[in-house]
Amino acid sequence: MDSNDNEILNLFRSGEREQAFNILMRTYRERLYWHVRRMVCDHDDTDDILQNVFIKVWAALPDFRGDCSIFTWLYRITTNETISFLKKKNLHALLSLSDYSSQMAFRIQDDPYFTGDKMQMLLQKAIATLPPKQRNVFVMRYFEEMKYEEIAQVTGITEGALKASYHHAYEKVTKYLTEHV
Amino acid sequence: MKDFLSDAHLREPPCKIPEGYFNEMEDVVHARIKAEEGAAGEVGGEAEVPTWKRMLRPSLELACSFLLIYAFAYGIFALTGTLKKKEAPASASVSYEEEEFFNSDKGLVRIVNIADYEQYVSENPSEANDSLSEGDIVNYLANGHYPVYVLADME
Repeated sequence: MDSNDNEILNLFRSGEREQAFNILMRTYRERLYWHVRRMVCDHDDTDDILQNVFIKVWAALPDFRGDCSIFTWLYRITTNETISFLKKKNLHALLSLSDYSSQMAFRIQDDPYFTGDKMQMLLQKAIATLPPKQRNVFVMRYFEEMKYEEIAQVTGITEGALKASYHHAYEKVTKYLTEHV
Repeated sequence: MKDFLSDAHLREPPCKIPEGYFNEMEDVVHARIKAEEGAAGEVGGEAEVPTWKRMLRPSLELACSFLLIYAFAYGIFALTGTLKKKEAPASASVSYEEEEFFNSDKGLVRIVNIADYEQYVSENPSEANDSLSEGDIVNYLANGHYPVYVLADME
């Protein structure tokens, strides 16, 4: 754990719970936001997930044992929350006989906050076609340039399996881009 | 295949965040935490519906709808008399007429054991009808009160 983590935990244990929580949110909110946003594409969905993540963090912080860094712990909670969200959306889409990936593609096109170029839009659409867990690995490795070791700590998947998953995701995205450019 | 992903600009965020979003989000999170802690502290608050119940609810509603439609249709047919008695297949060993006969009082004769009857008569001699001769009985039976297959079964 780094000094910032220690400061947050010491503050929390000394009874300054709200202050510690505020420091934690301000330190990690932007990085977590982008992690979720790249997974779900939509700002409103990202907002919902991020709020749920921080509420869970507040509830679980007293039980945080410190056997990993706060960042890894937060990423774990965020990843689980995001994958659950995507699975729920996929299930709802399946029940209404539609495809969530194509819904996401339309939402990316209509997103008022999207400022990227054509290639970036295509990349977002390509990511939307990946299964949730593969998408998570791809986002962490490609955009956030995390090491396999760090991703393994967050996801609990072996490094070998992560490399294979990232390779498959990379191939799928490249194929999608080649077909749609 | 061209390696599009090696282009560094693709790693940059392709969208912006609404202005002042993070401060608003913090406020919302604090408000939600206070609301949830307040709700948890209240005694007798409404219990949250378990996930499995929420998942099963649509299927159960669909099944109930089908059941209601079936019951409604059955009721209509029953009231209007559209439902008919099922006819026995031609290959059945007992015909409809035979079944009717056995269900009537006449059919009872088939299930009275002659030994029981004789025992009853010996115990209650006054009940015995000695005035009928064997010929009277044969004539009575032959006059068409019983079908031939019933007569054949009689001792």
